[in-house]
Amino acid sequence: MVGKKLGKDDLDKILNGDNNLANQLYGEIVAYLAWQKKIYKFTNETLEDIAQITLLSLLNNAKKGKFRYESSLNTYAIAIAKKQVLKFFVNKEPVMRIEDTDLMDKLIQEEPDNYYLNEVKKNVFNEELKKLGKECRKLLRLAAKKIDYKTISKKLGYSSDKYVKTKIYRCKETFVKQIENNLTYQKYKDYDNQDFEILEPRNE
Amino acid sequence: MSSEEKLQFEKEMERNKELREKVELFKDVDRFLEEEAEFEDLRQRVKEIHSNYSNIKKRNIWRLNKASFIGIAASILILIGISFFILLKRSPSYLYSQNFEVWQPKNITRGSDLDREVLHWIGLYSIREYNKVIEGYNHLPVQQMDNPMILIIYSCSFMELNQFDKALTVLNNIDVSESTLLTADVEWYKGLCYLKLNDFENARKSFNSLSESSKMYGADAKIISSKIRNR
Repeated sequence: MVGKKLGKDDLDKILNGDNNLANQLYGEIVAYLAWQKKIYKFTNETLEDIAQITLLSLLNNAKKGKFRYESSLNTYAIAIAKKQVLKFFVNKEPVMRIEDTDLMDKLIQEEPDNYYLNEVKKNVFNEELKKLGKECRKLLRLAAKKIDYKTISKKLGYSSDKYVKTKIYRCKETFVKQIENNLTYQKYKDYDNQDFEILEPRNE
Repeated sequence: MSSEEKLQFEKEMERNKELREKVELFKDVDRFLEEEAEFEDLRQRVKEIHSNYSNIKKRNIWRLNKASFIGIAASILILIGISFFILLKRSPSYLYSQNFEVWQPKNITRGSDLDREVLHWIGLYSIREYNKVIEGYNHLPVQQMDNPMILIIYSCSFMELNQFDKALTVLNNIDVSESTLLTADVEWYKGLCYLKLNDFENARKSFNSLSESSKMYGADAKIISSKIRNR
């Protein structure tokens, strides 16, 4: 079912809880994928995974201001869904990493500086974040949301906000040390975009 | 940090590459963690949207299924109703009830040639005393017993009491050669008796002959004939 064309203003509404608009957009993604499912023969579970990844990718990039908004959100959604289906067709499973959401060359405004370097960094950071303990990951996430130490302490059942502050600092230190010791990081930290172009020219 | 400490730190940063890189890395990590946190919020929002959409879809499927079920059930009931109605209209009992009327004797008055006993007996028939009519037949004057009119009355009385085989026996013994006006009547009641006895072959014969020859019964006979055509 094709509904109203959604634009920039609708994005905020969707992010802030407008379920009617969200359902409309999500419904269009699901409808497109249902058609693709018949061609590529994937399961309903995979359809749901791809649909969610598509929406996540769309919202993430729209939020970062990466769309020119020459077309509607609906059009971008279908374009992303199409790419995700092709990825699935190649990988035989939908794979979602944070950096995947940036790989939409035809849709984003322009390539940022140090595009590849940023991608390498993100990969490394993600890799090392997963190696941190569950507690550290939770603390760092809450701190990144600018939640005060007192609230964090109550939420996680710690004795005091001072303890939380110390713990967060220690977790961050550990995280940074892990990154510094990461071989990929050591290899590429002094590169810039031009170096990457020589090493791995992008396919158009 | 005091302004002096700040100045000191900045000088150190210019001098010390390692410190510079570390500070940059901490900034990168902070930026990354903020993006991660925002992304996690987005992920939660997408999960909510997906869950909400799935619930609506399930509710709609249930409603659609419920509506479909009611629709299908109603269609089946209507179909059964129509079939029942069609079959009813073709059933022998229905056709009989729609077409049978007791025969009305014509031109009988008190001043007629008929005996008083016979008139009395016909009187019983007119007031629907069919048991008495049947009982009384054997007490009628012998010369009247073979009268086609009397025999039709006798057979109709049997028919009213659902004794169709007896009615048929009487009707088959009626000699209408001298009273051709009653031929059609006799054939008509024979047809109805055969119908009630589910003897469709003989019923068709009676009604087919009437549909060709009788002005009075022709139209109705044709209709009955068509409804029992395939039986």
